[in-house]
Amino acid sequence: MKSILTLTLLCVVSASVLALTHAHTRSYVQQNLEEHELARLEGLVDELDRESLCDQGIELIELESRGYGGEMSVVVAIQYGDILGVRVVSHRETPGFDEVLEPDDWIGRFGTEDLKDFDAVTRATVTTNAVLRAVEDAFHLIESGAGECTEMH
Amino acid sequence: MYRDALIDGLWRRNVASVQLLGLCPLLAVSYNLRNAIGLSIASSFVLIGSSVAISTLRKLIPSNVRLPCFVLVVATLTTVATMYMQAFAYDIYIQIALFVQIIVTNCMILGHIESVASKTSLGKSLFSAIGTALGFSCALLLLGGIRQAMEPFIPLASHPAGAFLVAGLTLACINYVTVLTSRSLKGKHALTE
Repeated sequence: MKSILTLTLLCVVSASVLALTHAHTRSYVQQNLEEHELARLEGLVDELDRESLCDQGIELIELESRGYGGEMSVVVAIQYGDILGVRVVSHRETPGFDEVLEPDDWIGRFGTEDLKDFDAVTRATVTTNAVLRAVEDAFHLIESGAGECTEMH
Repeated sequence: MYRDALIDGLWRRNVASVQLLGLCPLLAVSYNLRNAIGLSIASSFVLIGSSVAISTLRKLIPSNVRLPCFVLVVATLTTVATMYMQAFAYDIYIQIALFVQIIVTNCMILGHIESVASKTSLGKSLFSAIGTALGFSCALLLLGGIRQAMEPFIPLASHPAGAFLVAGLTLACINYVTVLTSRSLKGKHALTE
């Protein structure tokens, strides 16, 4: 009886500590995440204003794709059917194996090289395949007229 | 007594160099000084916080559920550390989040709680925890510093394999110094006697 009581009490205390910490840190964490996502998008397009992007014929398509560690959020920029670039804004891939997703690594080659030349990267096969799948899906979305710009015009 | 606890943690019973505990985060994170500092702060916070909490509650915790209680306290503090790191040190968080989260399973911390904090008074276990935390931090910073300094000349040093090599050689040096000092101490005793 005493052990049940102790454990229950301890659980209640630790849950409250966690809830308080979460309430205290939530806004900072959110801000960090948003800043980090914006920083990741840098270099993909000049600005992030959707309307002026549409005037240039650029579509920014955000997709979820399943990587090795879970869902990753991929942004594909497409201008008049041509790929401008790809970025992964958030992911749960294994640390150390996610460097292919850095803009100056493998993922930065989108837009400068022919799509046909893209293969998965050895040791990060699942990660890179997930990105390739997302790019394919983005083109399908554009073809089916689901892009944001087509809706606006 | 308190001085002894500090020296024990820092040198004589150093968790990393003598007891060889907590090596997983030690090897994985110590490829540069910044990560080493981040992990030592997080580990020290969890170690000292949980030792104080367990030592205070030691008479209320029934021995048959002591392990769940210990793990609960350690896990709570680890999550708190992770949250604060995510909020205020996001750059380091991205690099070492995984290894901060597995502080929960660090045998150094559970070992310290089981063998010291759950058996001794608050003051004594606090000092012992501070000593242990300092010892672990010194080992982390030493390895991090050596590996970062070696990297421009020997790139292997910052890779996982290099971690084992550097850690092994550093441990060998530390043990050599320990043997030397204990020998010279014995020599002095023999003379005075």
